[in-house]
Amino acid sequence: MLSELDLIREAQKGNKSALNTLLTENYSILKGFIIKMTGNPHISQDILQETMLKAVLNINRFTPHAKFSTWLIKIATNTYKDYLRKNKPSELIEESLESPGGSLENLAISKIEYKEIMEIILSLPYEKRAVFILKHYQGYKYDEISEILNCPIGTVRSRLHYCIKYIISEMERKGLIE
Amino acid sequence: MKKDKLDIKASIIDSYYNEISEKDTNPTFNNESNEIRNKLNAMSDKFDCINELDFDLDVNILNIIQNAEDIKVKKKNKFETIYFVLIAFLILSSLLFIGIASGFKVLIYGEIFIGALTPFALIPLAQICKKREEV
Repeated sequence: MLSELDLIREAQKGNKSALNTLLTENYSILKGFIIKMTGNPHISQDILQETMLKAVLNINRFTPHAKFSTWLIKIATNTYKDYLRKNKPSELIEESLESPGGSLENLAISKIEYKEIMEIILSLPYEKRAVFILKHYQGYKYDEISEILNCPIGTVRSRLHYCIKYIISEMERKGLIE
Repeated sequence: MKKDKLDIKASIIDSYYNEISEKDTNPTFNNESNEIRNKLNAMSDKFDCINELDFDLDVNILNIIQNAEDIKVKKKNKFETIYFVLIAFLILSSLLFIGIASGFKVLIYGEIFIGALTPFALIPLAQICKKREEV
């Protein structure tokens, strides 16, 4: 089986199968990030498609000093930034939460909590939300996030601290934590 | 005092996200540190539900690759057309310039000379290109 680096080299030579494998392997990471950023299936689909299209078109520009998924997420953040410039902020769609299993009451509580948590995330400004999602859910280091968002590490750190303080205060206000 | 508390909060967040080791956090204000850690844990527990969030998206990667190929071909064709028009314009204007500067007789001799020599240059060039394509 080819390593990620070999796949990238093959894809840069024009091997479609290598490109397909590369995108398929990184699909779930990219999808997870975009879904959390937008909270909306229609926008997620558009951003995901456009990100992958841009990645294929610019594959020869990729220099493998970072992971391929990091590069994809960088493209996705820029694509979403452009989308927000042209459109209104996304609306939250609730239909998507999977049933946690158990009673209807549990499901109802989960849905309410999900809605409130998603509202908190979506109320964060775009660049701060990106930092929080990349750190909290994707587990990136500060330097990787600074590379993705093209900003200094100190800015990433202060944005994360702001997000945490804001989220905790909002959760306390909504009675989600004591 | 307030600044210290803010620093502690920041360093606890950094240590929670494994950016600094726990040893590097300020050991003073222990009660406060524990309170912040508890809040971070509670927040994390609640935010886990977003991990289950999944949309059934209709994305076909092979189609995207094909679309990208089509875009690349269109872009290449566009550039080739622009190059062709530019080069044709340059050749025609230089011929006109030579004609005006040296007389049209020279231009006709030149054209006959180029017309006679061109096949000798183009045939080997075409063969080299063909060999390269085969490799």
